[in-house]
Amino acid sequence: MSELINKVSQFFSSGIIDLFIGYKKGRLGEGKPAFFTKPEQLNELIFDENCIVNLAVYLRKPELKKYSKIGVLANFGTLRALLQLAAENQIADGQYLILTVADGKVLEFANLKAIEEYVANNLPKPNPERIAFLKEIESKSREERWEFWTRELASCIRCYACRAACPLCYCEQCLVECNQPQWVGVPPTGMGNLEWHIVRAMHLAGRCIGCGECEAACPMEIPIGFLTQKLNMAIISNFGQVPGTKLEPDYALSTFKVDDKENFIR
Amino acid sequence: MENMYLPYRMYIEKITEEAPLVRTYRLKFKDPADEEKFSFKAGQFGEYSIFGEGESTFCIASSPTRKGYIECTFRVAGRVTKALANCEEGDEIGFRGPYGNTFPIDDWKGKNLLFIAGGIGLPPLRCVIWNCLDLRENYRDVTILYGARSVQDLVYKHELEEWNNRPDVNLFTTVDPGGETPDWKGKVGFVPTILKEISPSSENTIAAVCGPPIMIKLTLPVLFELGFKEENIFTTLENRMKCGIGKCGHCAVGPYYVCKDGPVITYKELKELPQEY
Amino acid sequence: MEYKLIKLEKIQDFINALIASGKQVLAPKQKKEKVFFSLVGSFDEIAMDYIQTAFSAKSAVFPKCEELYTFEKNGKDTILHNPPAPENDTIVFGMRPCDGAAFDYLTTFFLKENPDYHFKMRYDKTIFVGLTCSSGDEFCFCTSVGISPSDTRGSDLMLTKTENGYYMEIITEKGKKLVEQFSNFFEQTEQIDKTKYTANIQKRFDSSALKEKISGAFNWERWEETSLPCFGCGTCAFSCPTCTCFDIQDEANLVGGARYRIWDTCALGIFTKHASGHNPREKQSERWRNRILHKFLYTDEQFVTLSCVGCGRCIRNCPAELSIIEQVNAIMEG
Repeated sequence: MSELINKVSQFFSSGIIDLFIGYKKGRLGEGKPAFFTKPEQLNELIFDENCIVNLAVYLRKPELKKYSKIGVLANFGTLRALLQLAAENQIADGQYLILTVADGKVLEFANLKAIEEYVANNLPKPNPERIAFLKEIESKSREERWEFWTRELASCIRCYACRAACPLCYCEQCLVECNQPQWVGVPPTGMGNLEWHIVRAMHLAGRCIGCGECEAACPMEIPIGFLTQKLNMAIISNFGQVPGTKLEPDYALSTFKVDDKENFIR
Repeated sequence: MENMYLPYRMYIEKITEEAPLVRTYRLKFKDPADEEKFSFKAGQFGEYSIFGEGESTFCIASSPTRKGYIECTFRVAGRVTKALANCEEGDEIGFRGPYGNTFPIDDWKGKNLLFIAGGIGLPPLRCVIWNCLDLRENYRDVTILYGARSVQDLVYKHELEEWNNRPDVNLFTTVDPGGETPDWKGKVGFVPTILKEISPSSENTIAAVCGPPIMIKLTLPVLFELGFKEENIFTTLENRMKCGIGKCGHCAVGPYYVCKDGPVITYKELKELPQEY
Repeated sequence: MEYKLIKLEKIQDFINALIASGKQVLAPKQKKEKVFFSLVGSFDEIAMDYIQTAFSAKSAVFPKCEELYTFEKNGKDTILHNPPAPENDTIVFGMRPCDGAAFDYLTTFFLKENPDYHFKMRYDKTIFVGLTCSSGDEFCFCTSVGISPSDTRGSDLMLTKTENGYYMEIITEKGKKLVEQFSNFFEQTEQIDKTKYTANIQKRFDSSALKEKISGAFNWERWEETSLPCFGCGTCAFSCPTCTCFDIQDEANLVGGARYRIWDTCALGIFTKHASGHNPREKQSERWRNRILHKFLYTDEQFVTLSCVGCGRCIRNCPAELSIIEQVNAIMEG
C-alpha cells in the first residue's frame, strides 16, 4: 500500500495529476470511491479485492472538467470499462493516468494498448455460482422463465440506479427520457418495467464488461446483472466478441459480415 | 374530500393562430355547473390536459372580468403542446385550476402601470392588462411596451391594434433589428433599448415584466436606472411543473413553490430565493 | 392512556388472526441481504432480527405507482373515474419510531394544505403498529433530529419487547378499536419505563447548532467536493421515508387509460429540466445540495419541521457510500 501511496504522492508533487480517483475505507470494511486532490489526503488511500465500485463511471462528470489531469486507480472492471469506452470513442489515449495493483505491485499503464495487453493476459474465469444460477434459469420452461422475470421485475421502482452506476451508460439523453414518442412506459408497473430492462440489456449487449455494479446498485436486490450476462454470453458464443478487451471496435450488433449466420431467422 | 387531480372538462370554442407555432384557445366549460362555481384572478395559471398525453402549464391569459370562458396561449414545444396543437374547435381539453397567486391589482389602485413584455411573455401579462383596462378608472397612466423577434412573432396582433387606438393607453411595439417588414410602423430595437428610449417615469409606478430570461436580465438595470424600486417590479416565474398544487416538488426553488407561492413575484422577493431557477 | 401486554408466544397468533380476518399485514420480510416491508401471509415470514428495513413503509399510503384517476373515451367526451378506496384495512407492523415520525411529517405534508385525496383514502384504512428499537447501528441518527428510539409519534399502537412479552401502548382511537376487536390476545398491565428496552443512539451532530450553520449553506464552496462520489442513482430519495416528490404520467390507448402518480427524485437531471432545455440544476452537486438543504432547511421554513428523521437508509443503501451524517458534519465545520 505504501508503494501506491508514495507513487501517487509523487505524481501530485511533480504536478502530473491534480486529482486522483481511488478508494478509501467504507462502512463495512470494503472500499468506497474517494477523490483525492492533495497528497496529504493519500494516507486514506486503499486498494484490495473489496474495492468493487467501477470508478470509470465518474469520468464523464462535468465537475471533473476543471481538473487538468486525472489519475484513476483501476480494478479489473474499470480497466475493461476504459477499453470499451476507448473503443467507443469516449476517452482518448493518454487522457487519464491509469494505475492498478497486482500481486502487491503497482502497475502504471503507459497507454491504452498496455491495458489491452494486460486485460488479455488476465481475463478471469466466469464466476461458477453465477453460471450455476444461469443454468438453473435456462433449464426452466419458457413460461417459468417469463413468470420468474415478471415477478422479479415487478419490484423495480425505476430509480435507474442500474443506469447511473454503469460506466457504459453514458448517453446524454436516455431512451426512456424521450417522450416523443414515449418508447418505454414510465410508470413502474407491469410491462413498463419489463420494457426498461429489456432495452437496457439490449443496449448493453456486447458492451457490458461484467463489473456487476448494476446489480450492486439495485436497491431492490433484483438480479439484473444476469440479463446482460446472458446476452453477453450469447454474443461471445455466436460472434466471438468479448466486450472490454479490444481497442478496435468490433461491434457484433452493428456490423455486418458476409458470413454472419442467419439461423436466428425462423 | 375532492380529488384535486380531476380536471374540469372544457371544449375549444375558438382557435386563433397568433404566430408561427403559437395559438390561443378560448375554452368553455362543458358542464354549466362547473362554470357557475368557477372564478379566478389575474396572474393565476392552470394545468391543461390531453387525456393520454399529459398536462401542460400555462397562465390563464384572459381577464377575470370577462365571464363565460377562459383563454390560454401556448407555443408548441413538446409532447403535450404538440397534442394540444392538433386539436380542432369543438375538441375536449381538461383544465385544472386556478392555481397560484395573483397580481395585487387592488394595491396598484391610483398608480401608473408599466407593462413590459417580450415574445411569448405577453400572455401572462395580457390577463392583468385587460383586468386593469376593464377597471380603467382605478389606475392612472397605462403604458405597454411589447417586443418580439420579428413582426410575425408578435402575438395578439388584433389587440395590439385595439390598445394602440385607445387614447387611455400608451402602446409601444418593437421588433428586433432585422425583424421588421417594409410596412412596419412600430419601433425597431431590443426591448431594453426601447425602454431606455421611452424613459417612463418611475414616480408612483408599478412595473410588470415578462419575457425570456435574457430580456428580463437586460431590462432590470434600465428599470433601476429609471428609479424603480425592487418591490415595485413584478414578474412571473417559470419552472418545470407537474401537479400545480405544491406537492410534486418539481417547481420548488428552495422553500418557494412556484405553483403555490408564485408565479407572481416581485424582484425584491426574487433576490431572496436560492439562485436556482 | 391504556397499556396492554401480549405474551411473546401470543404475538404469533395475533398476527395470524389479523391476516385471517382479511386485513393486509405489511411487515418486514427478508429478501436476500436486505429486509423490505412486504405483505405477509403468516407470522413466520416476518423478519425480527434486523436494524432497519431497506425501504420504509411509506408505500402503504404513498405507493410507487397509483392511479390518480382513470378515463374512458365516449365520442368527443371523456368520462373520468376516481380510483376505488382499498377494501380492507392495512396493518403496518413493526414500524420503527423514526418511520413513525416520518408519517407524522407525511400527514402534515399531504393533508394540511390542498389535502390529498389518494393519501387520505389509504391513510384512513391503515393502522400503524410501531416497535421500539432495542438496538441501532452507526447510521441511525434519530436522536440528532429530535426523535427518540421509543417515540410514539405516528403510531396507533406502540410495542416494546420486554422479557415478559410485548408491552403495548394504545396511542390512538384507531389503535384502541383494533385492540378491542382482538382483545383475547391481550392482558391488562401497568405503565412501565421503556428506557432499559430502548436503544441508546448517540448524537451524531447537534441539530440546534445546525440550523444556524445551514441557513447560509447554499453558497458553501465545498458542495462540489463533497458530492463527487454521487452518480445520481436516486436510491436515497426512493428509500427515504419522507421523500414525497412524484411525477405524473399518462398511459392510454384509443379507448381510455389512466393518469398515474409515480415516485420521482430530485437526484435525476430531468427533474428540473425545462422544455426549452434550460436546467436550473445542471450538475449533480447542485442536485445533492438541493437534497440536503431540503431536508434540513427548506421544509423547516415551510412546515416548521425537519424532514429528515435519522433512519439512516440513505447511507446504508447508497452504492457510493455517501453519508448524510458526514455531509452535515462537514457543513457544521464550515
